[in-house]
Amino acid sequence: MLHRSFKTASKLLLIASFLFLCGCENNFTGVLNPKGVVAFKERQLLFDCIALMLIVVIPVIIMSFAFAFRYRQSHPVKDYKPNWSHSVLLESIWWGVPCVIILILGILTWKMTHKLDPYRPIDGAGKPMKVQVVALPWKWLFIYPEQNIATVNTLVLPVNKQTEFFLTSDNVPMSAFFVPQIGSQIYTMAGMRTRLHLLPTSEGIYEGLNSQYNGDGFSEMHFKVKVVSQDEMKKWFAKAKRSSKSLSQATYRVVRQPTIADPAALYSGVAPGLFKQIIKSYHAPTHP
Amino acid sequence: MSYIFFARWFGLVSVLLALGVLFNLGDARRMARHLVKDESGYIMAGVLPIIFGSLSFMHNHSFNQGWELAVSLIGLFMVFAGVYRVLFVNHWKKIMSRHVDKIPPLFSLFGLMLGLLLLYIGFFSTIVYYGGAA
Repeated sequence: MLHRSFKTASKLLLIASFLFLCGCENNFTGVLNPKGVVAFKERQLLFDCIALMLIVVIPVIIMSFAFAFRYRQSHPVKDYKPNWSHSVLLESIWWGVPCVIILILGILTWKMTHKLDPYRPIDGAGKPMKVQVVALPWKWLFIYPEQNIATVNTLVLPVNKQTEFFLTSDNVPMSAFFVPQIGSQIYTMAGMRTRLHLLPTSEGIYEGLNSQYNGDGFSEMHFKVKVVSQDEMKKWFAKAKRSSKSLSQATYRVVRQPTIADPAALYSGVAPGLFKQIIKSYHAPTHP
Repeated sequence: MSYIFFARWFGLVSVLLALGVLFNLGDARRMARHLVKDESGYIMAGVLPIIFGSLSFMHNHSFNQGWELAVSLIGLFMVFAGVYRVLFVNHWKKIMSRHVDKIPPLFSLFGLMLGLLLLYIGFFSTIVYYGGAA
Protein backbone atom coordinates (compact mmCIF):
# COMPACT_ATOMS: atom_id res chain seq x y z
CA MET A 1 0.00 0.00 0.00
CA LEU A 2 2.78 2.37 1.08
CA HIS A 3 4.81 1.37 -1.98
CA ARG A 4 1.86 2.16 -4.26
CA SER A 5 1.30 5.58 -2.67
CA PHE A 6 4.99 6.32 -3.07
CA LYS A 7 4.84 5.41 -6.77
CA THR A 8 1.75 7.61 -7.32
CA ALA A 9 3.36 10.51 -5.47
CA SER A 10 6.54 10.14 -7.54
CA LYS A 11 4.58 10.26 -10.79
CA LEU A 12 2.63 13.34 -9.62
CA LEU A 13 5.86 15.08 -8.58
CA LEU A 14 7.42 14.32 -11.95
CA ILE A 15 4.43 15.81 -13.77
CA ALA A 16 4.32 18.81 -11.41
CA SER A 17 8.00 19.49 -12.02
CA PHE A 18 7.13 20.49 -15.58
CA LEU A 19 5.14 23.41 -14.11
CA PHE A 20 8.48 25.04 -13.23
CA LEU A 21 9.09 25.43 -16.95
CA CYS A 22 6.03 27.72 -17.29
CA GLY A 23 8.00 30.65 -15.91
CA CYS A 24 10.82 30.28 -18.42
CA GLU A 25 9.16 31.90 -21.41
CA ASN A 26 9.53 35.53 -20.36
CA ASN A 27 12.65 35.19 -18.27
CA PHE A 28 15.30 34.60 -20.89
CA THR A 29 18.18 36.95 -20.29
CA GLY A 30 21.40 37.88 -22.00
CA VAL A 31 22.26 36.07 -25.20
CA LEU A 32 19.04 34.02 -24.99
CA ASN A 33 16.92 37.18 -25.23
CA PRO A 34 18.48 38.99 -28.20
CA LYS A 35 17.63 42.59 -29.09
CA GLY A 36 20.02 43.05 -31.99
CA VAL A 37 20.74 41.52 -35.38
CA VAL A 38 24.09 40.01 -34.37
CA ALA A 39 22.72 38.61 -31.11
CA PHE A 40 19.77 37.06 -32.98
CA LYS A 41 22.13 35.35 -35.41
CA GLU A 42 24.35 34.15 -32.58
CA ARG A 43 21.39 32.64 -30.74
CA GLN A 44 20.23 31.00 -33.95
CA LEU A 45 23.67 29.44 -34.44
CA LEU A 46 23.74 28.30 -30.81
CA PHE A 47 20.33 26.60 -31.05
CA ASP A 48 21.01 25.08 -34.49
CA CYS A 49 24.29 23.57 -33.24
CA ILE A 50 22.60 22.18 -30.11
CA ALA A 51 19.82 20.68 -32.28
CA LEU A 52 22.33 19.05 -34.64
CA MET A 53 24.17 17.51 -31.69
CA LEU A 54 20.94 16.36 -30.05
CA ILE A 55 20.10 14.38 -33.23
CA VAL A 56 22.64 11.85 -31.97
CA VAL A 57 22.31 12.38 -28.23
CA ILE A 58 18.52 11.96 -27.85
CA PRO A 59 18.21 8.72 -29.89
CA VAL A 60 21.15 7.26 -27.92
CA ILE A 61 19.45 8.12 -24.61
CA ILE A 62 16.08 6.73 -25.79
CA MET A 63 17.70 3.58 -27.17
CA SER A 64 19.64 3.01 -23.94
CA PHE A 65 16.33 2.79 -22.09
CA ALA A 66 14.64 0.79 -24.86
CA PHE A 67 17.42 -1.83 -24.99
CA ALA A 68 17.59 -2.08 -21.20
CA PHE A 69 13.82 -2.61 -21.21
CA ARG A 70 13.91 -5.20 -24.01
CA TYR A 71 16.79 -7.28 -22.68
CA ARG A 72 15.76 -7.21 -19.01
CA GLN A 73 16.21 -10.44 -17.06
CA SER A 74 12.48 -11.17 -16.77
CA HIS A 75 11.96 -10.86 -20.53
CA PRO A 76 13.98 -13.56 -22.34
CA VAL A 77 14.25 -12.90 -26.10
CA LYS A 78 15.74 -14.97 -28.90
CA ASP A 79 17.96 -12.25 -30.28
CA TYR A 80 19.96 -11.83 -27.07
CA LYS A 81 23.61 -12.28 -28.17
CA PRO A 82 25.92 -11.54 -25.22
CA ASN A 83 29.07 -12.44 -27.22
CA TRP A 84 28.24 -10.34 -30.28
CA SER A 85 30.99 -7.82 -30.90
CA HIS A 86 31.26 -6.51 -34.47
CA SER A 87 29.25 -5.44 -37.50
CA VAL A 88 30.76 -3.45 -40.37
CA LEU A 89 27.35 -1.99 -41.28
CA LEU A 90 26.56 -0.81 -37.75
CA GLU A 91 30.11 0.45 -37.14
CA SER A 92 29.97 2.53 -40.34
CA ILE A 93 26.60 3.98 -39.29
CA TRP A 94 27.56 5.00 -35.77
CA TRP A 95 30.84 6.50 -36.93
CA GLY A 96 29.47 7.88 -40.20
CA VAL A 97 26.48 9.80 -38.80
CA PRO A 98 28.49 11.79 -36.21
CA CYS A 99 31.14 12.50 -38.89
CA VAL A 100 28.47 13.95 -41.20
CA ILE A 101 27.03 16.00 -38.32
CA ILE A 102 30.49 17.34 -37.41
CA LEU A 103 31.04 18.27 -41.05
CA ILE A 104 27.72 20.16 -41.17
CA LEU A 105 28.50 21.85 -37.83
CA GLY A 106 31.90 22.86 -39.15
CA ILE A 107 30.52 24.38 -42.36
CA LEU A 108 27.72 26.16 -40.48
CA THR A 109 30.03 27.59 -37.82
CA TRP A 110 32.71 28.59 -40.35
CA LYS A 111 30.24 30.47 -42.54
CA MET A 112 28.44 32.16 -39.63
CA THR A 113 31.70 33.11 -37.89
CA HIS A 114 32.86 34.95 -41.00
CA LYS A 115 29.44 36.49 -41.55
CA LEU A 116 29.35 37.78 -37.96
CA ASP A 117 32.96 38.97 -37.94
CA PRO A 118 32.89 41.99 -35.59
CA TYR A 119 35.06 43.98 -38.02
CA ARG A 120 32.64 43.37 -40.91
CA PRO A 121 29.83 45.92 -41.41
CA ILE A 122 26.33 44.42 -41.15
CA ASP A 123 24.94 43.81 -44.65
CA GLY A 124 22.24 46.20 -45.82
CA ALA A 125 22.25 48.27 -42.65
CA GLY A 126 23.37 51.59 -44.13
CA LYS A 127 26.11 53.99 -43.05
CA PRO A 128 27.10 53.35 -39.43
CA MET A 129 27.22 55.83 -36.59
CA LYS A 130 30.70 55.90 -35.02
CA VAL A 131 31.48 55.49 -31.31
CA GLN A 132 34.95 55.33 -29.76
CA VAL A 133 35.19 53.24 -26.62
CA VAL A 134 37.94 53.49 -24.01
CA ALA A 135 38.08 50.92 -21.21
CA LEU A 136 39.45 52.65 -18.13
CA PRO A 137 40.00 51.42 -14.56
CA TRP A 138 37.11 50.63 -13.85
CA LYS A 139 34.71 52.50 -16.04
CA TRP A 140 33.84 52.90 -19.70
CA LEU A 141 34.35 56.11 -21.67
CA PHE A 142 32.27 56.50 -24.84
CA ILE A 143 33.22 59.22 -27.34
CA TYR A 144 30.87 60.18 -30.18
CA PRO A 145 33.40 61.74 -32.61
CA GLU A 146 30.82 62.92 -35.17
CA GLN A 147 28.83 64.75 -32.49
CA ASN A 148 31.87 65.77 -30.39
CA ILE A 149 30.37 64.53 -27.12
CA ALA A 150 31.37 61.86 -24.59
CA THR A 151 29.81 59.85 -21.77
CA VAL A 152 31.01 57.70 -18.91
CA ASN A 153 29.22 54.42 -18.14
CA THR A 154 26.25 55.22 -20.38
CA LEU A 155 25.93 54.32 -24.02
CA VAL A 156 23.01 55.65 -26.05
CA LEU A 157 22.34 54.02 -29.44
CA PRO A 158 19.68 54.55 -32.11
CA VAL A 159 17.34 51.65 -32.86
CA ASN A 160 17.60 49.95 -36.28
CA LYS A 161 20.79 51.84 -37.14
CA GLN A 162 24.19 50.27 -37.37
CA THR A 163 26.88 51.50 -34.96
CA GLU A 164 30.59 51.00 -35.56
CA PHE A 165 32.69 50.89 -32.39
CA PHE A 166 36.43 51.57 -32.23
CA LEU A 167 37.79 50.24 -28.98
CA THR A 168 40.93 50.52 -26.89
CA SER A 169 41.90 50.63 -23.23
CA ASP A 170 43.95 52.98 -21.12
CA ASN A 171 45.58 52.65 -17.70
CA VAL A 172 44.32 49.06 -17.50
CA PRO A 173 45.90 46.20 -19.47
CA MET A 174 42.95 44.43 -21.09
CA SER A 175 39.15 44.48 -20.86
CA ALA A 176 36.28 43.01 -22.88
CA PHE A 177 33.32 45.03 -24.12
CA PHE A 178 30.11 42.99 -24.11
CA VAL A 179 26.42 43.83 -24.44
CA PRO A 180 24.97 40.28 -24.40
CA GLN A 181 21.52 41.22 -25.73
CA ILE A 182 22.85 43.21 -28.68
CA GLY A 183 25.85 41.26 -29.94
CA SER A 184 29.40 40.01 -29.87
CA GLN A 185 31.99 40.52 -27.18
CA ILE A 186 35.27 42.16 -28.20
CA TYR A 187 38.52 42.75 -26.35
CA THR A 188 40.06 46.15 -25.74
CA MET A 189 43.84 46.33 -25.43
CA ALA A 190 46.19 49.18 -24.56
CA GLY A 191 47.98 50.56 -27.61
CA MET A 192 45.70 48.69 -30.02
CA ARG A 193 42.39 49.42 -31.70
CA THR A 194 39.68 46.80 -32.20
CA ARG A 195 36.41 47.24 -34.10
CA LEU A 196 32.86 46.03 -33.63
CA HIS A 197 29.59 46.49 -35.54
CA LEU A 198 26.25 46.24 -33.75
CA LEU A 199 22.65 46.88 -34.79
CA PRO A 200 20.03 47.03 -32.02
CA THR A 201 16.49 46.19 -33.12
CA SER A 202 14.41 47.03 -30.03
CA GLU A 203 14.23 50.10 -27.88
CA GLY A 204 15.03 49.59 -24.20
CA ILE A 205 17.73 49.65 -21.57
CA TYR A 206 20.25 46.82 -21.66
CA GLU A 207 23.13 45.74 -19.51
CA GLY A 208 26.68 46.19 -20.79
CA LEU A 209 29.67 44.75 -19.00
CA ASN A 210 33.33 43.94 -18.94
CA SER A 211 33.79 40.18 -19.24
CA GLN A 212 37.56 40.12 -18.79
CA TYR A 213 39.00 40.22 -15.25
CA ASN A 214 41.14 43.34 -14.97
CA GLY A 215 41.60 44.15 -11.30
CA ASP A 216 39.88 45.39 -8.15
CA GLY A 217 36.90 47.15 -9.73
CA PHE A 218 36.17 44.51 -12.38
CA SER A 219 32.88 43.41 -10.85
CA GLU A 220 31.56 47.00 -10.90
CA MET A 221 32.57 47.71 -14.50
CA HIS A 222 29.04 47.71 -15.87
CA PHE A 223 27.29 50.26 -18.03
CA LYS A 224 23.77 50.95 -19.27
CA VAL A 225 22.97 50.79 -22.96
CA LYS A 226 19.93 52.87 -23.88
CA VAL A 227 18.50 52.06 -27.29
CA VAL A 228 16.21 54.89 -28.41
CA SER A 229 14.33 56.01 -31.51
CA GLN A 230 16.07 58.25 -34.09
CA ASP A 231 14.12 61.29 -32.82
CA GLU A 232 15.03 60.64 -29.21
CA MET A 233 18.64 60.16 -30.29
CA LYS A 234 18.69 63.64 -31.84
CA LYS A 235 17.15 65.11 -28.66
CA TRP A 236 19.77 63.33 -26.57
CA PHE A 237 22.60 64.68 -28.73
CA ALA A 238 21.18 68.19 -28.29
CA LYS A 239 20.94 67.66 -24.52
CA ALA A 240 24.51 66.32 -24.38
CA LYS A 241 25.80 69.38 -26.24
CA ARG A 242 24.28 71.61 -23.57
CA SER A 243 26.29 69.87 -20.84
CA SER A 244 28.48 72.25 -18.86
CA LYS A 245 31.37 69.77 -18.61
CA SER A 246 33.80 69.11 -21.44
CA LEU A 247 36.37 66.32 -21.86
CA SER A 248 39.56 68.33 -22.10
CA GLN A 249 43.04 66.83 -21.68
CA ALA A 250 43.00 67.89 -18.05
CA THR A 251 39.56 66.33 -17.42
CA TYR A 252 40.66 63.13 -19.13
CA ARG A 253 43.72 62.86 -16.87
CA VAL A 254 41.30 62.86 -13.91
CA VAL A 255 38.84 60.45 -15.54
CA ARG A 256 41.55 57.87 -16.34
CA GLN A 257 42.47 57.51 -12.65
CA PRO A 258 41.26 54.24 -11.04
CA THR A 259 37.82 54.56 -9.46
CA ILE A 260 35.09 52.06 -8.74
CA ALA A 261 31.35 52.33 -9.51
CA ASP A 262 31.50 55.79 -11.08
CA PRO A 263 28.14 57.44 -11.78
CA ALA A 264 27.21 58.22 -15.39
CA ALA A 265 28.64 61.48 -16.74
CA LEU A 266 28.08 63.55 -19.87
CA TYR A 267 30.63 65.77 -21.64
CA SER A 268 30.06 68.27 -24.44
CA GLY A 269 33.24 68.80 -26.40
CA VAL A 270 36.10 66.32 -26.54
CA ALA A 271 39.81 67.16 -26.81
CA PRO A 272 40.71 66.81 -30.52
CA GLY A 273 42.30 63.47 -31.44
CA LEU A 274 41.95 62.11 -27.89
CA PHE A 275 41.24 58.54 -28.95
CA LYS A 276 44.27 58.36 -31.30
CA GLN A 277 46.42 59.99 -28.67
CA ILE A 278 45.42 57.32 -26.10
CA ILE A 279 46.48 54.54 -28.50
CA LYS A 280 49.72 56.27 -29.51
CA SER A 281 50.72 56.84 -25.89
CA TYR A 282 51.56 53.12 -25.70
CA HIS A 283 53.75 53.13 -28.81
CA ALA A 284 57.48 53.69 -28.53
CA PRO A 285 58.53 56.92 -30.27
CA THR A 286 60.12 56.28 -33.67
CA HIS A 287 63.65 57.54 -34.18
CA PRO A 288 64.93 58.67 -37.55
CA MET B 1 2.05 23.09 -47.54
CA SER B 2 4.95 25.10 -46.17
CA TYR B 3 8.22 23.49 -45.17
CA ILE B 4 7.28 24.23 -41.56
CA PHE B 5 4.04 22.26 -41.91
CA PHE B 6 5.83 19.34 -43.57
CA ALA B 7 8.54 19.36 -40.89
CA ARG B 8 5.98 19.33 -38.07
CA TRP B 9 3.80 16.64 -39.61
CA PHE B 10 6.51 14.32 -40.92
CA GLY B 11 8.66 14.87 -37.82
CA LEU B 12 5.84 13.74 -35.56
CA VAL B 13 5.03 10.74 -37.79
CA SER B 14 8.71 9.70 -37.92
CA VAL B 15 9.21 9.91 -34.15
CA LEU B 16 6.00 7.99 -33.39
CA LEU B 17 6.79 5.24 -35.92
CA ALA B 18 10.41 5.01 -34.73
CA LEU B 19 9.37 4.70 -31.07
CA GLY B 20 6.71 2.14 -32.00
CA VAL B 21 9.30 -0.02 -33.78
CA LEU B 22 11.92 0.49 -31.06
CA PHE B 23 9.69 -0.73 -28.23
CA ASN B 24 8.33 -3.63 -30.31
CA LEU B 25 11.48 -4.91 -32.00
CA GLY B 26 10.31 -8.53 -32.01
CA ASP B 27 7.10 -7.73 -33.88
CA ALA B 28 8.94 -5.35 -36.20
CA ARG B 29 11.42 -8.12 -37.10
CA ARG B 30 8.57 -10.53 -37.84
CA MET B 31 6.96 -7.88 -40.07
CA ALA B 32 10.28 -7.28 -41.87
CA ARG B 33 10.74 -11.02 -42.51
CA HIS B 34 7.17 -11.17 -43.84
CA LEU B 35 7.84 -8.15 -46.05
CA VAL B 36 10.90 -9.85 -47.57
CA LYS B 37 8.65 -12.63 -48.92
CA ASP B 38 5.95 -10.29 -50.23
CA GLU B 39 6.33 -8.51 -53.61
CA SER B 40 3.59 -5.96 -52.91
CA GLY B 41 5.42 -4.89 -49.74
CA TYR B 42 8.39 -3.83 -51.83
CA ILE B 43 6.19 -1.84 -54.16
CA MET B 44 4.47 -0.13 -51.21
CA ALA B 45 7.87 0.67 -49.67
CA GLY B 46 8.62 2.45 -52.95
CA VAL B 47 5.23 4.04 -53.68
CA LEU B 48 4.77 5.75 -50.30
CA PRO B 49 8.13 7.57 -50.35
CA ILE B 50 7.44 8.70 -53.93
CA ILE B 51 4.04 10.13 -52.95
CA PHE B 52 5.20 11.91 -49.79
CA GLY B 53 8.60 12.89 -51.17
CA SER B 54 7.19 14.39 -54.38
CA LEU B 55 4.47 16.25 -52.46
CA SER B 56 7.07 17.68 -50.13
CA PHE B 57 9.50 18.58 -52.93
CA MET B 58 6.79 20.16 -55.09
CA HIS B 59 5.93 22.55 -52.26
CA ASN B 60 9.44 23.13 -50.90
CA HIS B 61 12.29 23.19 -53.35
CA SER B 62 14.40 26.00 -52.01
CA PHE B 63 18.14 25.41 -52.25
CA ASN B 64 19.07 28.52 -50.28
CA GLN B 65 21.18 27.92 -47.22
CA GLY B 66 19.00 27.22 -44.19
CA TRP B 67 16.55 24.65 -42.85
CA GLU B 68 14.44 24.94 -46.02
CA LEU B 69 17.36 23.30 -47.83
CA ALA B 70 17.28 20.39 -45.38
CA VAL B 71 13.54 19.86 -46.01
CA SER B 72 14.06 20.10 -49.80
CA LEU B 73 16.83 17.48 -49.61
CA ILE B 74 14.70 15.17 -47.46
CA GLY B 75 11.86 15.38 -50.02
CA LEU B 76 14.27 14.77 -52.91
CA PHE B 77 15.91 11.86 -51.11
CA MET B 78 12.50 10.27 -50.47
CA VAL B 79 11.65 10.51 -54.18
CA PHE B 80 14.98 8.94 -55.22
CA ALA B 81 14.66 6.18 -52.59
CA GLY B 82 11.11 5.42 -53.77
CA VAL B 83 12.10 5.39 -57.46
CA TYR B 84 15.00 3.04 -56.73
CA ARG B 85 12.74 0.65 -54.81
CA VAL B 86 10.12 0.61 -57.57
CA LEU B 87 12.54 0.32 -60.50
CA PHE B 88 15.10 -2.03 -58.98
CA VAL B 89 12.86 -4.33 -56.95
CA ASN B 90 15.21 -7.33 -57.12
CA HIS B 91 18.25 -5.40 -55.99
CA TRP B 92 16.26 -3.84 -53.16
CA LYS B 93 14.92 -7.28 -52.23
CA LYS B 94 18.45 -8.73 -52.09
CA ILE B 95 19.65 -5.99 -49.73
CA MET B 96 16.56 -6.32 -47.52
CA SER B 97 16.98 -10.13 -47.27
CA ARG B 98 20.63 -9.81 -46.32
CA HIS B 99 20.01 -7.33 -43.48
CA VAL B 100 16.45 -8.23 -42.50
CA ASP B 101 17.28 -8.49 -38.76
CA LYS B 102 19.12 -5.19 -38.67
CA ILE B 103 16.48 -3.19 -40.51
CA PRO B 104 13.99 -2.57 -37.61
CA PRO B 105 16.57 -1.12 -35.17
CA LEU B 106 18.14 0.92 -37.99
CA PHE B 107 14.72 2.13 -39.15
CA SER B 108 14.05 3.16 -35.58
CA LEU B 109 17.41 4.93 -35.21
CA PHE B 110 17.16 6.89 -38.47
CA GLY B 111 13.45 7.57 -37.90
CA LEU B 112 14.24 9.08 -34.50
CA MET B 113 17.10 11.17 -35.91
CA LEU B 114 15.07 12.40 -38.86
CA GLY B 115 11.97 13.00 -36.72
CA LEU B 116 13.86 15.00 -34.09
CA LEU B 117 15.55 17.10 -36.75
CA LEU B 118 12.20 17.82 -38.43
CA LEU B 119 10.53 18.63 -35.10
CA TYR B 120 13.31 21.13 -34.37
CA ILE B 121 12.87 22.66 -37.83
CA GLY B 122 9.07 22.78 -37.47
CA PHE B 123 8.66 23.98 -33.90
CA PHE B 124 11.88 25.66 -32.74
CA SER B 125 13.91 26.97 -35.67
CA THR B 126 11.18 29.50 -36.49
CA ILE B 127 11.29 30.90 -32.95
CA VAL B 128 15.03 31.49 -32.98
CA TYR B 129 15.24 32.58 -36.61
CA TYR B 130 15.86 36.23 -37.38
CA GLY B 131 14.99 37.24 -40.92
CA GLY B 132 16.39 40.79 -40.91
CA ALA B 133 19.65 42.23 -42.21
CA ALA B 134 23.02 40.41 -41.78
